[in-house]
Amino acid sequence: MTALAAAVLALAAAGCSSDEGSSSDGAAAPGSADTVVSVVSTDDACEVSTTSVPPGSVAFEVTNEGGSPTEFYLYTADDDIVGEVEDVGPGLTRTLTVQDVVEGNYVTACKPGMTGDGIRADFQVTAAAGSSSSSG
Amino acid sequence: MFVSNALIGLREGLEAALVVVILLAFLVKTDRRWGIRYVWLGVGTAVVLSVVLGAVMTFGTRQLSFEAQEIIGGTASIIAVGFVTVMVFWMKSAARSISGELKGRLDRALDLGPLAVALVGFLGVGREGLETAIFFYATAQAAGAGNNLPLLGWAVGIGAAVLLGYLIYRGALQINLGRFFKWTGVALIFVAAGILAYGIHDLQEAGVLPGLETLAFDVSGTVDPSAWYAVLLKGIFNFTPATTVLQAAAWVLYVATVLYFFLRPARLPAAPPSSTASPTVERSAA
Repeated sequence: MTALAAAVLALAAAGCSSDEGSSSDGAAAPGSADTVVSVVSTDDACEVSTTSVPPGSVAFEVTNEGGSPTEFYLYTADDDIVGEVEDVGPGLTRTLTVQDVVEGNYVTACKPGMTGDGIRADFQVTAAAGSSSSSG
Repeated sequence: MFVSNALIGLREGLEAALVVVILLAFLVKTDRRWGIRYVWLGVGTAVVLSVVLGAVMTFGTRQLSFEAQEIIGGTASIIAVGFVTVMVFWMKSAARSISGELKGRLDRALDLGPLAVALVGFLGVGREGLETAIFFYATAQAAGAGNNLPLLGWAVGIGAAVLLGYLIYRGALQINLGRFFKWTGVALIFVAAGILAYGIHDLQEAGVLPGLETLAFDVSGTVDPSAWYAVLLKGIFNFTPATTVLQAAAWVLYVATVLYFFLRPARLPAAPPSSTASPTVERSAA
């Protein structure tokens, strides 16, 4: 039993190291990220507070103001998942933190009802963005 | 808002409780009450670990990467399937020994030890435990900000899952012994197939297995994932409206293989039941 618990904790510790472009979900202190982006997900809209951020770590604070559980994904331009947060119940705020995100074009997607391709928008990571933080 | 979060709690509770409940019913029904405390030991360890890790991830600055989370969840699920498969064939041989086909005691080599029992309890609850803990903290934070509905809803959902689990446990105890083994075995096979499919999907999300976007079917147009019947289907059978080809193939292969070997009459009275590629567990296993 202790051996198994130790193995799980070892795996967790290994995952805790800052990988290139690694991400995590939860509701972790978004203040530890370089940039905080607010996302408001409703039944038919996905409001992302900013669509251009500088490289580094980005925390997406996803608030569900719709009626059904939603998900939030960050995709590369090639539709690979960079990070996701699922099961954002109505009324909840959950945070997706992406570490070491590099310059490039990305796509954000809210999926109200946790189904389909979702409500997508382009998202840019560029050094020219300067520091930005969430507004509203 | 209350209902949606209650349904999430219900689903998470069911996913955790089902295997544990059937194992408990089996232990009681076959006079193996010694195993009960080990089940709770495994379950308790999983709960504590999930709550602690969930708090670290919610309030701390150290993070578990998305890939690592999915790999842990996926691997734990697949390991759980291995143990449940062993459990299914243990039930089959227990049925035969009780019905007198096997003269004398149950073959000791096939008897589950305390560690195996605790592990099934641990894996059954722990494989989704971290996600559930993080969700709970999110509802607690909403409550702290003034909105109690998600937390209350979720708690009611978990409570309903516990109640449903208890009813299944009681119901399983009522079934006559002969049928009990066969039908709980069959039920477990379908539940395990769902867990296998779920684990595969997690590994596909982590990029460890390919084919995340290659869907076998997508009925989410007709089956809304947040509707109550979809929630029950997901909680009990891990049925998802959008299923990948790899998931579907694994599910079909698992059910076909294990069901065949489980239902096939044993050839010789003293022959141990055939098993698929699953680990055998002995009492002395460390």
